[in-house]
Amino acid sequence: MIRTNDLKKVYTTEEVETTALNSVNLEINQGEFVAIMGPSGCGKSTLLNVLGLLDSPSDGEYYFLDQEVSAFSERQRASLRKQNIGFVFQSFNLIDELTVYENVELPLLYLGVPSKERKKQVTEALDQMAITHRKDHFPQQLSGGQQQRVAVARAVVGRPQLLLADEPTGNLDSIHGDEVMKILAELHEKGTTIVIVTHAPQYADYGSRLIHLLDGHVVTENLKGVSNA
Amino acid sequence: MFKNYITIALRNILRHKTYSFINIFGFTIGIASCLLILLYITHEMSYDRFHEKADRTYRLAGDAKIGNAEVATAHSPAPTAAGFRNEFPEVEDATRFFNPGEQVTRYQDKLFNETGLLYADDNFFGVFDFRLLQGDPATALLEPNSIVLTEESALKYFGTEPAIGEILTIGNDNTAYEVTGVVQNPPDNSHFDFNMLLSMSSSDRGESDVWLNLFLYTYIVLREGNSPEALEAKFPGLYQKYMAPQLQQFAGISWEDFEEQGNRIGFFLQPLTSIHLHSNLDSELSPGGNPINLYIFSAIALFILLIACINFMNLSTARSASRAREVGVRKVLGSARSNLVRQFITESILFSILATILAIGVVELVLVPFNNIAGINLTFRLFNHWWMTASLVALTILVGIIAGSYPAFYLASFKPVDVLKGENRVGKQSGRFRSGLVVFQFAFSIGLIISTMLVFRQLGYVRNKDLGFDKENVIIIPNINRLGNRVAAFRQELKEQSPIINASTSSAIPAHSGFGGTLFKAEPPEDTGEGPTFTEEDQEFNNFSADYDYLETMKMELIGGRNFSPEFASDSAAFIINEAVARRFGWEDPVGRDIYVTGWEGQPRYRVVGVIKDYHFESLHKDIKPVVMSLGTTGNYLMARIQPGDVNKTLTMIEDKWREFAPNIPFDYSFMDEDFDALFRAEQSFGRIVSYFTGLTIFIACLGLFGLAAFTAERRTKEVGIRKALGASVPQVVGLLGKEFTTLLLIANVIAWPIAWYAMSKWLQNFAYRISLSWWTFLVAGALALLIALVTVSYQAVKAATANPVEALRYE
Repeated sequence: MIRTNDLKKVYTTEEVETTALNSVNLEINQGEFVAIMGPSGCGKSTLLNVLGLLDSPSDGEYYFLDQEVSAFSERQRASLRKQNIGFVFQSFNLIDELTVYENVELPLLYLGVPSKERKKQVTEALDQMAITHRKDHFPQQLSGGQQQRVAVARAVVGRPQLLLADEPTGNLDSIHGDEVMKILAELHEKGTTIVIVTHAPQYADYGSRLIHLLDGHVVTENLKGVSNA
Repeated sequence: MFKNYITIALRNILRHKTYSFINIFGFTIGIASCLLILLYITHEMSYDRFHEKADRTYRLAGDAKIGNAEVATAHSPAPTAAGFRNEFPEVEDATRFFNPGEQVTRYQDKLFNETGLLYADDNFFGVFDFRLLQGDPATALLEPNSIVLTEESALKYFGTEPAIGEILTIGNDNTAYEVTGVVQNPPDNSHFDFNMLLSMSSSDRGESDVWLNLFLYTYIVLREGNSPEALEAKFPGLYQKYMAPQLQQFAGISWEDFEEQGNRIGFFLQPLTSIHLHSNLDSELSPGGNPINLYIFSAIALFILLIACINFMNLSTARSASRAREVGVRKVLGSARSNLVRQFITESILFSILATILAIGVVELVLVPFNNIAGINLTFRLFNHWWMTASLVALTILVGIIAGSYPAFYLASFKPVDVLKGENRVGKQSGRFRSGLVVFQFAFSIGLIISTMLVFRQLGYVRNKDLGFDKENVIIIPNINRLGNRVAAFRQELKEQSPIINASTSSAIPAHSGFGGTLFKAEPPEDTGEGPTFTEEDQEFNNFSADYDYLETMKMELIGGRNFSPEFASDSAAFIINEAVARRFGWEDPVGRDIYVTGWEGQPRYRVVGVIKDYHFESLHKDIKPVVMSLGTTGNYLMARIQPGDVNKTLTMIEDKWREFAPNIPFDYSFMDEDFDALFRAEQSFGRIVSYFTGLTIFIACLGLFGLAAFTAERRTKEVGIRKALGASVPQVVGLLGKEFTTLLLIANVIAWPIAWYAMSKWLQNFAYRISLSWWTFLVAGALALLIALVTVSYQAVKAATANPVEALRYE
């Protein structure tokens, strides 16, 4: 599903050049649950952004669904993104002015799903996250855990093949964190490919594969169980 | 998707109330201003278009140069209408009317001074589409002594009783007129007004066959497909045929000699629909509109709208941080840039739609006061004209797009990677652009402040300027000749009353009509045996007659010679002149010199016995012209200088005396100072409109600044926190925030001053007597704008500065 070849990302400001990703070679297959770990500033989020087509690499090749996308335009990336990729963020990133229902509905609007079908899918997604009773509330009226469940519902409502989560538990206490991770695990079991960035080793263990990043390099890459051996 | 845009826009409007208020309020005022001005322009452009044949109707106007006197007048001679009909096949119709001046009109015991009388040809209603409510338009003005009343006049004289067939008596000789029709009141957008139409056949003046006496108004309808230029090209033949013989007969000079001496007399055609805005001749039927004012008002209205748009741009980009996350999320979810641009423009159009709805209400509310200030009578019916509705819709969308585009593209360009991290780095890059916009807003505001100040200073100047006589405490009674042979007795009676200091009769009074123009020369005309000459040496002076008490009553200053005196019988052939006459003739010592009426041997000659200081007998728009005064007691005006104090009591006393002398003639009066003020009514209403617009502009600009300051203060919260933690005092912090805007205001001044200087010098050229553009006006305006801006900003600055630094630092 994902294959990168010598992927590089360099940030340039007026005086400083920062290399966030350096020669990253990575392959992620359909149905995998990959966890990315590493210290602050090692390039985890950058990698996720590039994989999620939010950002384009400075150099190297990136094959997404067997297409070389590194040179795609903003418009092409947006189109690819909305059809195939769901995102979950540490800070939830729900739109404050929209209700729970409307937040979840948003990706379907961009996909041009007809109204009836939309209603069905949103209701399903909310049911799946057990948040239906809150559908007419605004994000600020919910707890962090609830907000993240809404965010996950929004990420999966369009049935993307790939779900990217950037420290989805980072702003949550452990009870709510566990809850969210369980949901992700369930989604994985149903066939969604998941890539998650996390600080917490216990959550990294949900993954079938663990990638350690340091200073923009992949330092270890272990299949589950191998890291603990 | 569209519904989603609207939902989020409405929720944003409700959530950020201050921001929404500033934007919607600004748009509302801007759109309402534009709407008002649009109504105003529409009204001004609609003049005389209600006549069915308006597009091929022309007024025949006169143009002449005789001696050094140039005349362009709306008047034409009586025989032209018939002459044009006979001579030119392309003339479909021609009609005439003239105003006989104020007339006393009676019906039973009702008695009024009527000024709106017109003697009109019987084909009046064939050319002009004033609808007859009763009577037959083809015959109503046919018979002698027929009269057609407007609805309003019919009501005034007959109440609800039928008017047709009733008899009104008009004028000093009580001529009887039978009512033959009732016509709708002439609409506001007619360049002439009337309340009674009398059949031309009632007056022998209409039968005059003199082509050289221009005193009535002639309107010509051309047949379809004929151009006025082509007709004008045929005029010279007409002059030769009709005017040349009369010139020879009356003035004793041949047309060729007359022209050879540099003189001319002739006509030209004015399109009916352009008279109101573009004609400014002598003897206009109404003051007419000023196209320059239309441009100025349009520009101001558009600028107000632009300033409101700038507020929207500024505030939207300044608070972009709060929308950045939404942009990021939407992009992550697959929104393309174009989707977002569309979303934000939808949002700004929503703002402008709300504002337009409010603006319509505002216009309804302010229309009456606006009409009063502008001295017009606009009506607002949104759906009467399709183009009015269409332009309003277009304006709404345009405003939304202009105001919304920049913020839309700005916001839509955010990268999700940057904005979703929770780091508020956005909203800073556009700072310079915003500053530029603020400078623009304030440059315009300052320009308006300067202009308003100068307009009012100029008006104050002309109102208080020494006119060369004392216009205060003078009551003017017109039509004094209606008293017949008892004028002198009446004047004497008034002079004996204690509240009256002096009284004088005269044929003309300052600020009123009544000054004739006659050609004079300093040397006796030569008898060449070939008739008279009219050359550049012939000077046109205004002339009038007055009695012995005139100078004293008017408090005019005699600077040479003496006043008229009963002791000198020769004063019947004497002039008192103003300084301008002496200047024109180049006389050092005018007293004792003779002035000759242009013409030939035997024309009267006048000796100069006195010189008065130049005085303003016309509006201060004009230079003081030469004027000569002769002795006469038949003047139609009586001026009474009264003691200041209980003016009403004095007035009642005068009116009682009038009734004793003339129980059957209505009493009429005016105050000389008010008549003078009336000369500047147009400028006064102009000044007032500009000042209201100025107030609005500044207010809207300040609202924008207030909002902008709020976001600046918010953006710098952390900086303020750190500074305070390091020991900065509140005033220091306020100064820090104020400095940013002070710099902008200073730049705005630098831009505004030269532009205002240029524009106002142009405006002041309307006045022959004007103030100088003093530098302090500019300084005061600049300081005022700075003060207003700083007060606006300081609220936010103080709020930020007095906040607990811990709060500020915890914010990150």
